Amino acid sequence: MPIKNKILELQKRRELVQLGGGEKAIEKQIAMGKLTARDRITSILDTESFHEYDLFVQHDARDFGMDKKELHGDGVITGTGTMFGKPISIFAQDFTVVGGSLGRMHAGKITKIMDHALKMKMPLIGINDSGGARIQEGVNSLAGYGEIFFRNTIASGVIPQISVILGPCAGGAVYSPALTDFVFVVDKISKMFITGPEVIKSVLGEEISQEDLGGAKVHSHITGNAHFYAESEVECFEQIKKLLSFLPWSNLHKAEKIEAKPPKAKYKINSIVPEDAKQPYDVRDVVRCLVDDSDFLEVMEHWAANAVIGFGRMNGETVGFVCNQPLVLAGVLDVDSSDKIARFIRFCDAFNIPLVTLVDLPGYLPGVDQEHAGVIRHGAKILYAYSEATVPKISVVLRKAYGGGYIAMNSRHLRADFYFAWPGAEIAVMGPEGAANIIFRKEITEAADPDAMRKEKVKEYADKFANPFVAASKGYIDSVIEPAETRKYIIHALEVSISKDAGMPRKKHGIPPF
Amino acid sequence: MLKKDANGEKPKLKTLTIEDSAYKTTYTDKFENRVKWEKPDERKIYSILPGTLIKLNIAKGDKVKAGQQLLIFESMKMMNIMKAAQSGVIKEILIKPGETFPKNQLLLEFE
Repeated sequence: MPIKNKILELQKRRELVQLGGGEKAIEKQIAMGKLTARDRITSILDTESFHEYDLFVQHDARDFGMDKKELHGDGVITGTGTMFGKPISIFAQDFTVVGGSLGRMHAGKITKIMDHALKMKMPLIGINDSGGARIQEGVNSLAGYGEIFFRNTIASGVIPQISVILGPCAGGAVYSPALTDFVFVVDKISKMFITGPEVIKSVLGEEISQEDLGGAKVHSHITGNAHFYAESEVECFEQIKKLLSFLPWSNLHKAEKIEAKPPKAKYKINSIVPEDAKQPYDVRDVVRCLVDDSDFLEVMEHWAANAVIGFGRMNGETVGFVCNQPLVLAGVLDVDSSDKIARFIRFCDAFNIPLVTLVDLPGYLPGVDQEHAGVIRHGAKILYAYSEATVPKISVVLRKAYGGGYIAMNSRHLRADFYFAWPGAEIAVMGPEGAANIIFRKEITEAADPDAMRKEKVKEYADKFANPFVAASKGYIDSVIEPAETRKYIIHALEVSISKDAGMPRKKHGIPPF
Repeated sequence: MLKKDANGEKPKLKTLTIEDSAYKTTYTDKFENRVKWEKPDERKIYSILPGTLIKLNIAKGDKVKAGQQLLIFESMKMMNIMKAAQSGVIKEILIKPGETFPKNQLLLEFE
C-alpha cells in the first residue's frame, strides 16, 4: 500500500519539523520560563482547533553558509483555529529556531496569514518572540518587516489585531505591535526596545538592563506601549480571551450580544461619589454599578491612570467606557491620558462599539512639563476622536465638568447623542474658587476682610452655577437623572440609537493631530 | 468611600490645586518625578550628549566671538564641534582633553 508509506513519511516529516529547534533548544526555552510557540498557540485557541499552514516552508538564503542550514518552519508557526467556536488567525515566532529571527520566508508566512485574516474578516493574534532581523538575509529581512507593517496598517480598523510580546521584540520588529490595537506583555518575559542596552552603552555610555529599558512593567506603566500586563503567560492568555469576548470579529459586525445580567448587588451607586467635589473616589466602582454582572475589563490600567478606559456590557451588548478618575491626579486630562482616551475612542468607533463617557474632571493638568510636552496637540486628539466618532455616544456627568475639560469629554457640542447629569453635577467654566477669585477680584481685594469676602463670593458663585440646571436650561443636558436611574437611561439610549446615521461628509480621510 | 488596597491600606491622599480649588487625590509616579523647570542660564554651557573631550580651542580669560569654535568632542562615534552661541569672555573651563563627561554636565562658563 504505497499511500500508507507516504502517510508515514508525512507523519515523520511533520514530527521533525514540529520539534522546531530541537529538544535542547526547547529545554532552554522552558528554562527561561517560557512556553514553546506551539504550546502558546494551543493554550490560546479552542482545544484541538489549530490548523497549521506552511509547515514545510524553507528559507532560500545562500550567503554566510545559510545554504547548508535547514530551519524548521523558518522560525514561525502560522495557522487558523477557533476561539469561542469562531474563526481566528494566529502566528507565533519560534525562538528555538535561530532565535525566531525574521527572514524573507518567515515574514512571508506571517503576511500570508495576515492576508487570510483580512480577507476572511477574523481577528489576528501575533505572538512575538524573536531576536530580530535575520542578519544573513540582509535587505530581504527588512523587506519582510515592511510587508508586515503595511498589512498591519491596512487591516487596522477592519479586524481586531492583537500582539503578544513573549520574549524579545527589538529594533524594527517593535513597530508591528505598535501598529496593532492591543499589546499584551508578561513580567520578566517581554522585552521591547528600538535600540538595546549594548548599543545604548556603547553610544551613550548609559548602562541599563533589558528589563529596566523595555520590560513588561516599563511598557505597561511608563511608555504606554502595552495595554495589558500579566504576571505569567497563562494569565496573559486568559486576558486575551477575556478581551476578545467583548469584541466583534470585524468592522462589518457588532460584538455578539449575550444574555443580559444585572450588576452585582454589592455595588451601591448612591454611596460612591462624595458630595464635595474636592474629595476623591474610584470611578471604576461607578462603572461596576452600571455594567452587566459588574464585569468591567479595564484597558491600560497602569498607565495614565487619571483616565479609565475599558469594556463592559449593558443589556448584553458591548460598550466602551471612557472615564475621568478623580482618585488619580483629581481626574485631570493631560498628555498621556489624552493619547489613551483618543486611541480608545477610535478603536470603539471603528468596531461599532458604543461609547459611554463618565465625566468628573477639574480641567487640564497645569505645568511647564505638560505645556512643553505638547498638551495642546495631544489634548486636541480627544476633541477630534469624539467629534469624528459616529457610534452612539452617551455621557453622564457624575459631578464636575469644568472648562475645556467639559467640552472635551463628549459634550453635546462634540455631538454626544445623549448627555445626562446627576443632580450633584457642576457644569461651569471653572470651579467656584477660581471663578470667584476672577469675577469678584475687586470686591475681595478691597474688602475689610478679604478672606471672609472670598468665602462669601465663592458661596454665591457655587449656589448660582455649581449645579446641572444652568446647562439643562440651555438644552446642553438632556436629562438630570438620579444615580440609580443611570443604567436604565443608558440602556434606553443605546436601544434608541440602534439605527444611528451621523451623516458625515465624504472625504478621503481627516487629518487628526497625531 | 475609598477602598483599601491589597496591603489593607487606604490610598495616601495628596493635594492637587487647579484653578484655586484644592483636590484630594493621589499622584502618579510621572507627576511625582517631573523635573522642575528652571530658566536656562545662557552663561553656563552644558554637554548635550555624553562624550569625550578631544580638543580645547580656548583658554580661561579668552575673548570669543559668536560662532567661534570652542572645543571638539567625540560622541555617538562622531567628532562634534561645539561653537560659541554668543560672544563673551570665558570665565571657567571645567573639563580637560581626554576626559569623558555625561549628558548635562557643566563644561564651561562665560562671564
